[in-house]
Amino acid sequence: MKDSDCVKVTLRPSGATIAATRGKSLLEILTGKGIGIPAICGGKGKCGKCKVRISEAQASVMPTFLECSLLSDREIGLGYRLACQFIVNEDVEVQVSSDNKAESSQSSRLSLELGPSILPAVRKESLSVPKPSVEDQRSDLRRLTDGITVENGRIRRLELLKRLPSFLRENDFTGTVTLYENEIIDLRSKTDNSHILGVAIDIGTTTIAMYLLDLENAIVLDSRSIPNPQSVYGQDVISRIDYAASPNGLTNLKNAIVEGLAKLSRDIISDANVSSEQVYDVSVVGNTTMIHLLLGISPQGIALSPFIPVTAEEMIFEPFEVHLQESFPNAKIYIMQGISAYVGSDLVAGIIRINLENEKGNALLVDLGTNGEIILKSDSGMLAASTAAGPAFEGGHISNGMIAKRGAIDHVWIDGKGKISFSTILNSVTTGICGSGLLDTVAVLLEKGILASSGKLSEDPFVLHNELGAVTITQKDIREVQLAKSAIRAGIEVLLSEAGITYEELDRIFLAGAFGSFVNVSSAVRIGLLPDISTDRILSAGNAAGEGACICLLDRKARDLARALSNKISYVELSGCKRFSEYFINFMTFPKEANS
Amino acid sequence: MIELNDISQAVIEGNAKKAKELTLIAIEKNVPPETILHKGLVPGMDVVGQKFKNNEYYVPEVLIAARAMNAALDILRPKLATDAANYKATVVICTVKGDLHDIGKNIAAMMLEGAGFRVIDLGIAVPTEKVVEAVKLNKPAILGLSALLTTTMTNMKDIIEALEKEGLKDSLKVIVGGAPITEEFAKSIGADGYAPDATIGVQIANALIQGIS
Ligand code: B12
Ligand code: FES
Repeated sequence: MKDSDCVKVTLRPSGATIAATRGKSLLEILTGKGIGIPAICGGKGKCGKCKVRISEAQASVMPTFLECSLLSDREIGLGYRLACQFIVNEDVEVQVSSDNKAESSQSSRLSLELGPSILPAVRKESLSVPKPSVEDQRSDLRRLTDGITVENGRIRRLELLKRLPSFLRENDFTGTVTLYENEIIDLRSKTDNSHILGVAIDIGTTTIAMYLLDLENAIVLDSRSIPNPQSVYGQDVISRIDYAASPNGLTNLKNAIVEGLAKLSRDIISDANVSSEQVYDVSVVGNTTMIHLLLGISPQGIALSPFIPVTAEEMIFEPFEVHLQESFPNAKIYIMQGISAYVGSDLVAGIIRINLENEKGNALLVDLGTNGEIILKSDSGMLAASTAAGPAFEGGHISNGMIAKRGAIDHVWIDGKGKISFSTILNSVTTGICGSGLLDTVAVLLEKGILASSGKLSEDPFVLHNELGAVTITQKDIREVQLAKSAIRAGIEVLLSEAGITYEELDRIFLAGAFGSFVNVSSAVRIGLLPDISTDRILSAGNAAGEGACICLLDRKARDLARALSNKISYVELSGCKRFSEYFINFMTFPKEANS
Repeated sequence: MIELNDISQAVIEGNAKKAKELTLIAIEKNVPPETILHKGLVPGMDVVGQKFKNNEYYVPEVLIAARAMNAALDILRPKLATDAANYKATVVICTVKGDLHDIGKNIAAMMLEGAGFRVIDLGIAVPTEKVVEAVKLNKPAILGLSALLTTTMTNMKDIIEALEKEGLKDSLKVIVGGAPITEEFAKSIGADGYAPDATIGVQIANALIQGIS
């Protein structure tokens, strides 16, 4: 790229910068960097969801006709623009606030209030201790621990102890101590003012997400995600466990994830212009199998009945123990407590993120992944279940299915003239259909009577086509949707009946996971995936797991809560559960009529 | 004969009450139980199988139809002589060790029953030794195995090997099924047939027993 073709996009508040090609839309640039901007209409300037705020200097660029029709004069005056319409021809600063992250069409997103840093596990303290003398012959270490406010302060890192004498003497017995709980984990000179950073990681079977936080200002500097590089060894948890049993399997899986994390951290740290040495705390959440694979522990017990993991406990490691010393040389690696083989710390983090415990009335948290995890909070406590829906919502086992990326049909609707219309991600030529598009399609086909409530498709295959291309949906695809949606719904119903309540008594449903924040809630209700409650009671929890991991960096009390939760939540095993099978079969058909 | 057609129809519609009532009427009219089975229930399930095959029916409809068939069968069973003459052949079926998925296996079992086989269902997560025992005891012509997990499908191989070791393999045919199973896998473990769905399962079972007799 020639310099003259290159423009700089600066993200506020983080200050991170992106180099981009001149003449591209802001939406393209931001989504290309994994920054979730809701683009429901696929960048056509129709939905108005991709609203961003541009710094004043560039706001003088004339708004387009479409922008004028979707934004108020006041908004335009304040510098709001549609990312899909705003062509970047000059360096620009853009406000990417948390409410600018992926948002779904119908569900209102919670905004993450990472309040003032409450009580991080890691913090710094300034040090000034008396110099040694014949009267004061305390050891260097003793001198150090006496000089900090923490009780029972200690050093566990041998390398740090080796550095201690020269550090004290070169710095005149002053400096900054970095503490992790009561352990001294680093010593820096007084003049080093760099902030303490934390990294939160959510290891999903399909995607790994990473967040970089400034723990002194309690802000998220940046977040990124990449596909889980283990995918080449198997799409779902069971296939990976299977592969882990083969020679070198476990090592290959572990290396894949470690390399993936190294790549993510390299990018996120260098783009934020900080140093990996500033990262003192890493908080990891993930499903139980992913945690086993990160630690290089055999997950075999998880695959077969009675489903026994080696661990689902809270653990704290030194970076070299988990081979993360290159990414995070100074950090402690905290692994959040999970619940069982199939309800991992990612769900616990989600519960913490949405504060489910303090939610009034009855509330459900549903993660619509391959292993659909469900938590029900009611007056009688919290119940959890895991229901193996399969990968249909991620495009797996669907003839033209794909994950939600460029060119995927993501939304389908009936337009004013009664014609079936659709949009694709980034408004690109269609390359397939992703989960949200598939659900919309099923809902639309039911509405049009092309699909019977039994799941029989009268036009097989059905072709979705417009100027962006064509994608076919087959009868078999519909069957896959029926299995997946019914598995989730049956899991929900089992928990409801276990708690002795009906779906009408649900006050809230939170949808977690990438798919959960993308899906059109009315379609999910129309096809019977979710109970028929009014859609304004169904909220997207966004990337609840990753944000829960962030909260654990900022507030160590959240870690206590995670441990407490895992004792409070009763896990309901669906395998061998008669009621599950009955619901599963009953909910395989689609609701006859759209109710609400 | 009108009742027999109606019985088939009741099965196709999944109307258990009607299937039961009509069976009782037929018995009262001295229609032999064998005839009710072979001319009433079996043709009904056959249509159900065809509808399943051409996607008119799916899991729920098949199971509802099977429920209707079973309602009628419950009345017929005590009246049917259990001797082999009334059945095409005996099938022992189960989900293999470590695997608790049974919906597909149940459908396969019901379809086979509906096609006139005597079906002995050992249930889910059945240990290999139990399968061998059941084969010794029931001397089936066909053994149907189901697995839904990539981690449990290898247990099918263990079963076939155990049968070979006991010298039982040559006395029966093994049909395997379940979502992760492929034709290749079935061949590689020495199974005699692979059923991608329950209706093909019935076809293969029919073909295999013709081969035996
Ligand atoms: C329902 C379901 C469950 C239910 C099972 C309830 C029950 N009583 O069966 C519950 C929730 C208990 C469950 C548990 C688990 N499940 Co599950 N489950 C499913 C699901 C959604 C549908 C399976 C099903 O019933 N299909 C419908 C039937 C009709 O189809 P079928 O079984 O293929 O049968 C047809 C044919 O194959 C054939 N057939 C089958 N067997 C036989 C045998 C013979 C002899 C013949 C002739 C024909 C035949 O005929 C049938 C009709 O045509 C699938 C995902 C999916 N979308 O398919 C996952 C799935 C099978 N489960 C999976 C997993 C991982 C699990 C768990 C390990 C995880 C968990 N979260 O708990 C546990 C394991 C339990 C255990 N040890 O067995 C994975 C397997 C992945 C893999 N690589 O192996 C799947 C694919 C989902 C996924 N991708 O994650 N599951
Ligand atoms: S208006 Fe920009 S994406 Fe819809």
